[in-house]
Amino acid sequence: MLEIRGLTKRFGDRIALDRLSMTVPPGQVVGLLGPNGSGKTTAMRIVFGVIDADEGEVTYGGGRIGPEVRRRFGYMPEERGLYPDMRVRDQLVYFARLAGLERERARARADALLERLEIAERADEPVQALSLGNQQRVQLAAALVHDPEALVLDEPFSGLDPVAVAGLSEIVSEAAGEGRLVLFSSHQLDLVEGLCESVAVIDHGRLVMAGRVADLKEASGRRELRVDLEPANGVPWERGMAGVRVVSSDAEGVRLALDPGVDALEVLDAARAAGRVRDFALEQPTLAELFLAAVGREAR
Amino acid sequence: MSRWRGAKLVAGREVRERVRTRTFRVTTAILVIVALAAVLIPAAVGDDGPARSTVAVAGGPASLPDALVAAGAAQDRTITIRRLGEAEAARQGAAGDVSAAVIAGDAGTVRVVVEDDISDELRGIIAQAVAGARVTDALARAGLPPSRVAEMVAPPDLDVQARGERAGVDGGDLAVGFIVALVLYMALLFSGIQVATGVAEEKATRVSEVLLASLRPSELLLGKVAGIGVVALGQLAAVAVPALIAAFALNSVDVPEATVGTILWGLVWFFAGYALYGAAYGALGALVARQQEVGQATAPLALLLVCGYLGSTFAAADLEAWWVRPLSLLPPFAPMMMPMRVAGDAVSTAEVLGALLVTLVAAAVLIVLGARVYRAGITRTGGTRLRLREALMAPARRARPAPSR
Repeated sequence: MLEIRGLTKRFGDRIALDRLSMTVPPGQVVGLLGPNGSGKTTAMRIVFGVIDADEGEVTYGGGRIGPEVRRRFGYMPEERGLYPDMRVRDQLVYFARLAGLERERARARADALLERLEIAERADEPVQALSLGNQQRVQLAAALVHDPEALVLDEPFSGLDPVAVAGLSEIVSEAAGEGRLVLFSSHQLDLVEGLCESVAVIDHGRLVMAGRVADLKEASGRRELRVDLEPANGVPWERGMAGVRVVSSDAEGVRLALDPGVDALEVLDAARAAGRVRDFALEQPTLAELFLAAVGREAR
Repeated sequence: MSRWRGAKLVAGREVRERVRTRTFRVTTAILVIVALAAVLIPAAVGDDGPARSTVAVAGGPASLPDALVAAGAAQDRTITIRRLGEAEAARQGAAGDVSAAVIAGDAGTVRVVVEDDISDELRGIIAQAVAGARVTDALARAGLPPSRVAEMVAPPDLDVQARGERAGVDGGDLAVGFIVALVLYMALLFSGIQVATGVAEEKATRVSEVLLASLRPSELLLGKVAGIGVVALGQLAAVAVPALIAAFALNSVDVPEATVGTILWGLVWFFAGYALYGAAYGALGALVARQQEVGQATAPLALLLVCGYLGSTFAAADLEAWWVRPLSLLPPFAPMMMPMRVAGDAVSTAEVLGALLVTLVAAAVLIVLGARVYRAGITRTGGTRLRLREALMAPARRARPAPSR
């Protein structure tokens, strides 16, 4: 268990982190999310010991994180973190050996990871010859090569296309599935929504919301029912129902916000009575919508 | 993981990655070729060999040819003798087939036939030889045994005692000191810049953040400085050793007396100076925000190196000048000034060892301070250059939890 308690960091007059607290249990993917400049990287760098907090502390398994503990972590800094002109395999072996692995084991781990990440055929090329997506795979491999207990990944998905994001997400989930503690940061809330089990969302260095994603969505009480209807007559069926508000109406149908306590199925029944339902969906708000609502900005 | 293992791994990577690059291989190859050419070309052209002359001799005392060879040897000139008849000697002398034809007449007259002119040196040699031969002949006729005669007419071995200001300082020795100082200056400058650039690259690529997870800043700095130093030393050896072997094999250089000592001291001073400057370059390299700023950020160090180098050059003109001694004891200048004083034999071993100790202590202090600046610099990415003072004032330890409230 990684615990962050009351982290505060100032750069001159600017407060980058303001009493940030969160916990990261092992075995699940936890996202530290927030817009650019919200303090994510500062938090990640404090966790990793690159910079010191002005106040607060970070503990792992109840104790403070010293050099020995830190060596059991895998770290991926925001962008790069690799020697551009060093060959991929050499680089992984080097990082593994720095973390304490013997040469043979370091080589075996590096080769196994390159195989798993499907970049084995690029192993003897310098990192800078690889595409951005492949470079990010190498970075992830570098973070994983010494078989760490915990992974701390700063913006692992930035700049990647959806296919690359999906590929990396799979590996990150797999790492958590193997019982590792996984904390990553991202500013693309929608992109990583499916990946994290729980999140901490920050803005201006302050925690805006935290918890399991499903719980947060549930607790928001916001549900939207989208119904695409071929009306039997022109009667606007959607109006006049208690606790139901029309959000929008477009080619995909009408979107209705349901108050807590409203039974979505009853609303759907009303729709079916008014005509043929071509398509429908009960949608929970996205993380981005929850975030915008929480910081008091309108979603659309 | 022990402190040394980390530093060793870092150093090992530096060596491997540097030696692997095409730039390194090409530069080293070019330097080796240039150094070999500098030795081999003069030897092949042969203008450096001992001077030679062929002299035709006709008539005269029997000891004249030997006297000519001996007189020539005293002037570093190898004389080859052709014993000829008078007419043939005169012809060859006039035709320039020989440097000069010495034709001794019966009445003790001596005629020298040359093509155009005779050098003062050769004229002196001939005059000395003829005079010597006459004396030898006369003494032999007087009944002195030939061995005694040879002893008496042999040129005396002069014991020269100079009393001027630069007494005892050999130009060749100073030249060796000069070359060693120049090589030290260049080696320190280039490897220092490489340390700074390497550190700046690690900072710019954020590799340093990953490395700091496994390594202490001092290990990282020490390993980097050591690795680049080994490469620099190896390159120096790769260039110098073949050239020196060739030079000794061809016997083409006149090796000054102070050479070996000065070169050995030069090596020692490279270690000390490099430890000092490497740590400083590493620290300053960590302050920059972009790799392009390295030159600007490390300019003060380059200035110190230039001062040390110029100091040693000026010191060669007068090793006893009042400023030479104090400057050669100061760590930033000692690595370049001391080899010159050693070459000129103008310093006691105790003094050199003292200066060495001071430099090594300064280097150790700089490694510690450098690691501190390094860490503060590494963690400040983006934006502008970190000021040295800010870096030194930064907290020394990382991740010490602040008291929770």
